[in-house]
Amino acid sequence: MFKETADEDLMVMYQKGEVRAFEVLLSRHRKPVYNFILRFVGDKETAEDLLQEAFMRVIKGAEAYKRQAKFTTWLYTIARNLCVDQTRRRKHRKHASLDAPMDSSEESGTLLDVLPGNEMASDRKSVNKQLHETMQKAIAALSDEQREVFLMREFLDMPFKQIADVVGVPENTVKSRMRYALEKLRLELDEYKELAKAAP
Amino acid sequence: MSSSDDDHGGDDDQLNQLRSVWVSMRESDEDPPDRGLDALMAAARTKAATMAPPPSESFWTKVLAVFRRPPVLALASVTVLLGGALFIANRRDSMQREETVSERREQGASPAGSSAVVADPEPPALPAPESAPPPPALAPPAETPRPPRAITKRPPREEKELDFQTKGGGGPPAVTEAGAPGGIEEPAKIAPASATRGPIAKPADAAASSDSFGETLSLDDEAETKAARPAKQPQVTQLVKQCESAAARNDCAAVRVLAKKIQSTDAEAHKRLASNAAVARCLN
Repeated sequence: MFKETADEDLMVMYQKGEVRAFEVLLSRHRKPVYNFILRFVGDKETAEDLLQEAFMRVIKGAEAYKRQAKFTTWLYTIARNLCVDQTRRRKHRKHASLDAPMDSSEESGTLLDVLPGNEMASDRKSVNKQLHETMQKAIAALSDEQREVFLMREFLDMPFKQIADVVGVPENTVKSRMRYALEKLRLELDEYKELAKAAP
Repeated sequence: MSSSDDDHGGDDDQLNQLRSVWVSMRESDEDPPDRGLDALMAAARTKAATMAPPPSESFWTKVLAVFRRPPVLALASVTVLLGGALFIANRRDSMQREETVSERREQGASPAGSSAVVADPEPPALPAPESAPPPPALAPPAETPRPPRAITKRPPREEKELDFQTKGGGGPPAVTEAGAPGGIEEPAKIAPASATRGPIAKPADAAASSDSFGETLSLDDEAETKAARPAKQPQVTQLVKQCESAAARNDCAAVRVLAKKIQSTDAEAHKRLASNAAVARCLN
């Protein structure tokens, strides 16, 4: 019934008491928002909680929503703010980072060091899996500012203008962050260049 | 979009290979678990219920709501007060008008009726309560002027009534206040008699309707009573003057007639008149 309806129209309908419109919005955006949050925070349980909280905030703020605002910009701003808050809290709790030593002994390496090498990939499927995990680790190693821009740009196909709106910085700053993020990823994944070539 | 012009990072092979990796990662996106979905929908329904516009009210409900507003209530109060004030003012005007009419009648009646009788003052005619006892029946119609049709129709009806009484036999028939037996005569024929003999039901109506004989009579009584006192003094003075002038003319016949009138009206004035030499000569 509402499959062709724009997000903004659905939101206006929900404002008028149409619960079905919100259901459509939820089914449309739940998965991408969840994966954005998951890639941002790197933890499934936290991602679930943050996804729930993000849509709860949408419900609470539905009355104040204006038709002129793009719904996805509003939704991802909420999700991004939740992620930023979560990572800040985690830093305060001194969670182990990917670059940090796994334990206190000097012999132990980083998480990236123990990632499976290309010699372990026996078939294409395992190569893909290995690459995905490596990429996930590399993305997690980016700074928060670079990671959020990279995820929105490459995984959600957002234009730079919208990313700038979500993050709340100028568009040029977003582009700059994107450039640095790609550069860092390239460096991080340089040793997997050959593996990436083998991937479909 | 990744290959758009504003993309950064170059289009080198290494980056393209990496991009192919995260594009394949997108395909393997996980579905979020359904945990908490019910709670989310319940919250959404609750919020939708609060956001939903109230059901449209009927026209009369809206009108009632408008009338309940303080400005409208204040306006209604002012309207009622003004209406009451206007009503009272109109009523006072009509009462004053009635008084003026009765005064005029008195003034008109006083010169004609030379032998006006001084009567006790009566209270002004006020609307009597319905529970009050009816005033006593007026004087017999023969002494007062009445509409001619009442007189002409009266005898045959009385005969009929008598016939009925004698023929019926079972006691006196139920005679209405107007004097007609119930159900025998048409009310239209009885009407003049009722107007003549019946008591004055509402004094307030008496001034307005002069058609009813009894009511007219009561008005005339009032007029005479009120007119007698103020008219007496100027009349005597006038008669005294006329008498003196007649005495000066040596018209003793007129002097005697006038003196008789003065004596019947005011004995004191007659004594003063008698002290006049010219008058005394005529009277003697």
